[in-house]
Amino acid sequence: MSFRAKLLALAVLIFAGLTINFSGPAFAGQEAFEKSGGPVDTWNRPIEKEFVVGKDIDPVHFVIGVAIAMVLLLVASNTFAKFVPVPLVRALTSVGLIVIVWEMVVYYKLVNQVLLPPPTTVIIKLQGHWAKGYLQIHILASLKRLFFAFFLAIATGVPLGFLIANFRKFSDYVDPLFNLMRVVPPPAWLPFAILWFGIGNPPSYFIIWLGAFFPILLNTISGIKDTQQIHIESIQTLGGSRMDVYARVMIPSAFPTIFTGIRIGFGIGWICLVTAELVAVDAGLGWMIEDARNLLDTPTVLGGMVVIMMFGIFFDTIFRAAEKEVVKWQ
Amino acid sequence: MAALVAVMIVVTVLRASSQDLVGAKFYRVLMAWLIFFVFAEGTIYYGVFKSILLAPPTAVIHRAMFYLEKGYLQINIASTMFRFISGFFIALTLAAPLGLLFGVYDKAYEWIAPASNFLRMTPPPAILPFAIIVFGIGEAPAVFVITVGCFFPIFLATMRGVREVETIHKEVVQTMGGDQMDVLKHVILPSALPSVMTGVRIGFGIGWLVLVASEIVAADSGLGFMIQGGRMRLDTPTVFVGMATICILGLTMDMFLKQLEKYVTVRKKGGGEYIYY
Repeated sequence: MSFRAKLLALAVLIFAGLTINFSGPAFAGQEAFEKSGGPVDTWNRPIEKEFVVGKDIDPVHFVIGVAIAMVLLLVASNTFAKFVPVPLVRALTSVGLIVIVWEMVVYYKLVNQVLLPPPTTVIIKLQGHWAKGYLQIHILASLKRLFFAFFLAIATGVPLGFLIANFRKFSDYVDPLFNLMRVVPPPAWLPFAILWFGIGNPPSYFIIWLGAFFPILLNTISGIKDTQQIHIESIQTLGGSRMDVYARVMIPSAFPTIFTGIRIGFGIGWICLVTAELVAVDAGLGWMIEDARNLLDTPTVLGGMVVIMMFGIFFDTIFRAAEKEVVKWQ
Repeated sequence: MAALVAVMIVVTVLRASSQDLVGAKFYRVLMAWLIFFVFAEGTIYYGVFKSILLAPPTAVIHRAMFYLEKGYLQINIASTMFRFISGFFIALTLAAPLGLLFGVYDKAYEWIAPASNFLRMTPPPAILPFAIIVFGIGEAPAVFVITVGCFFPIFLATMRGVREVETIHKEVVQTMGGDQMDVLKHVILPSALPSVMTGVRIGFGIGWLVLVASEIVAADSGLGFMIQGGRMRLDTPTVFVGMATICILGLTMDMFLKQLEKYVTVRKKGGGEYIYY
């Protein structure tokens, strides 16, 4: 894939991301779900069940199963060292160890069950939420929100960074205002955003955009300013116009830096998403755990945290892999 | 507002009369600020925006003076700073020694690093509801979440710093007859320190962000609580006073950390040692 094709693919992705958010139902099965009579409001909380340690999963079996899985994993990583990534195996083993200790601490009643429910209860709870479609609704709400604001941040941050880096006059006028906005942490904008946009999606878009925008903007500026003068001059010597300098020298050479900005921006946007959802919306993973907190439904709180963490790891892995691909030629 | 417009006109005239007196950059930056203030003041005055949506700067200053007089602002700043500093220092005292320990021993590093890369991906605000269940509303959940937020950047940066110490430096000390403690004291600590400082600054940024988030959700005092309260009473000037205070405090502490970083990482001339010991 040539560089230009990659750039084009990225642009198409961004605009697809922006348009999908304004069209169609929240997820593929939503219409069918509505027709079947199940109400799709997020207040449709699953009915509370008394939770008892190991009601459906026997904690002893669970601990033994996790231990066996850990041993198998280690054996597999020793035998097929080429195919199994070692850091992943080690991370999974450490997490398995934590899970076992956690389960045993609760099993022997060393801590209050209401404050720290065991992994078995969390798994049962999550499975119940998934079966009712409750978890999917919140995951999709969060992801839609995150991606819309994130793509908006790319679509505004990269062009603005380009303008600021290239035009002195523009940057002198705009810089003070951006600096003013940058030094206030995004959550501090939250009450203000609620005043302006009300409860719902728009304030959370604003907060996530704010979190993701500045890393992207600053990295774009520094990437474009770091373009080597000799590259610009050589293309000018060969008779290139101003557009050629922008399109063929500046943007390609700044691209890896911009991509790093995008990755960092995504991480901060992810933090801001959860913050905004704790306060300002009525659906989403952050809302789910805050709501469960109000009901003292600790298994859902912990389950939601695990889901949020897994999505974080997933996206981080993807972005790191993509970054490696992008900066390969450097 | 008339004064601001007058300043704008005067500066423009001055610039028109002589380019040297008012530099181009200074002029543009000043104009950007003035235009911003005149915009904020004028739109409210002429009723373009409702006054609950945007507070005019004069009202914000007035409100800030009022709060300062009553001691309300000072109380909130004190509780915010107490929370932040205790969380930050707990994280620092845990993360730096642990990072040093796990960085020095290869086996420990190989097992701990992947797992902490996993755990790091939980956004700190997501821990907040759980922390509230465990600790209740007040100081404890906020301090806990700030600690978690600051811990991982400092921990990972320390580990990375210790891992990146050049082997040849360690070997030089060992050849000269130094034992394990000498290596730690004279090689590992000095060369890891800049990396630790980077971690401290990143941790500071994330901790400051998380602090405000946790005060909005889980506290009964502090600047975040003040902003949220102002929002609930549709008292926009208070919201802006809180935001400005957070901004000023954050900038001050960041400047302080930058100076500290410069001070810590500067090498002594010729000696090849660091200034700090």
